[in-house]
Amino acid sequence: MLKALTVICAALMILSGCTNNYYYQIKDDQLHIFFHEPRASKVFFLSSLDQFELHETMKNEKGLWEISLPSGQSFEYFFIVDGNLSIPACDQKEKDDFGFENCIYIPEEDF
Amino acid sequence: MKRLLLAVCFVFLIPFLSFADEVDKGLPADTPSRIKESVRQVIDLGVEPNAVIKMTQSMIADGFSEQQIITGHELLIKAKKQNLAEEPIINKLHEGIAKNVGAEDILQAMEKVRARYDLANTYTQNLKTDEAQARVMAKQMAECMAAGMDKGSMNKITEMLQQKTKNSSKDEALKLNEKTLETARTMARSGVDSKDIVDVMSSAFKRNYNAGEMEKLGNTFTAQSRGSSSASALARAYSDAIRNGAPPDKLVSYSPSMLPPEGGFTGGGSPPPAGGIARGAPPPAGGRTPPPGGSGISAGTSGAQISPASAPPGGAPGGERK
Repeated sequence: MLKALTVICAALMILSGCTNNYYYQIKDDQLHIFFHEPRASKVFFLSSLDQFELHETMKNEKGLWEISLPSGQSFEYFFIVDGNLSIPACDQKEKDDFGFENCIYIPEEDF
Repeated sequence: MKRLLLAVCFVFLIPFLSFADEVDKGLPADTPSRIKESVRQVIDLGVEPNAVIKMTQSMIADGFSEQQIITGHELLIKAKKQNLAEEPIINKLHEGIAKNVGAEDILQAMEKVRARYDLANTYTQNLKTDEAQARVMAKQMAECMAAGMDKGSMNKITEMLQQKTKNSSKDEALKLNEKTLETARTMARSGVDSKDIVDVMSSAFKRNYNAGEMEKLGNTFTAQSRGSSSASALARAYSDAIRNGAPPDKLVSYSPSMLPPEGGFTGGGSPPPAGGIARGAPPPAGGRTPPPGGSGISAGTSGAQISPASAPPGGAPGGERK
């Protein structure tokens, strides 16, 4: 029974495209991005907000890599996970002209 | 009289002298004079001096050759003379350096950005718009193309808009242009095929969608496509629905299987951890306050400001320069 349930859950996750590994929230005018990379030892965040400067993220008590940013602006971003480029399974992306992609954050009020 | 003339000349020379100082101060002492001259040319055209100096510093530090640095400047000069935005081109340089991409590939990417804005600029000239909005629309179009929309499809949407707004007031035309491009950009960024975007827009125009309806279409698509495995399939469903007369507020019922998860979880991420963090939820008591000053970007749990200086030396961590 448990096995069947697991299979059904896995199938539902695949069908719903539920392979996402990040989420975000807004608190006190700050946007917090949480990124799930359990095996990573160092995760950097880079965005168009400050011309792609490196910012080291911190692993929070839930084991998620977290970064805080000013909210209210749209921007492109990506992560460097243990030296490798990485983007989460974000909804909106663009090609970066280098053969990779960037995620795009759009504040909700822009829609 | 001679003294007065000298004084006037001196006053007029001050800005030029201060630019020279800025360039000399901002760049390493051994910077070739050709590079400094090239920096001054870009600044003289009206590009923000700090941005040009920072860009040049980054290229020098990243091992660009003298000629490659000058080519980078020439790209900016060309963009400025064409009245294109220079910021996305400069950003592409910094992005390429951060990604540890080789100098030649970075220059090519910068040229691609310039070319996209140039093309977008050409398209906006066919639309009913004003100068301020033309810039915004050119940016939207360039971003559509950066997200993967092909030139032919971008041109088709422009032609449809041109046709649709031919007899509209300028205000109506501006609004429809903006909302149409915004929706097209959302779809392109969500991974919808160019052809499917054109189909949705074509159906909407045939049904005489106005700016407000186009905006609703974009909003509904944004909400429904979150976490969806096929944004193109959703767009095709919309196209059929609109052709069959569906108003934008009824589109949500056309693909119930693609509704976002209950609770409105956003960002396309996995469900929030136990405790239910939802977007826009009120902060818990004692919640973090924004760090003061700087870019406002800080690492998560500590709340401490992380300055770029904390980055490991040699650019992006890991990996050799190509």
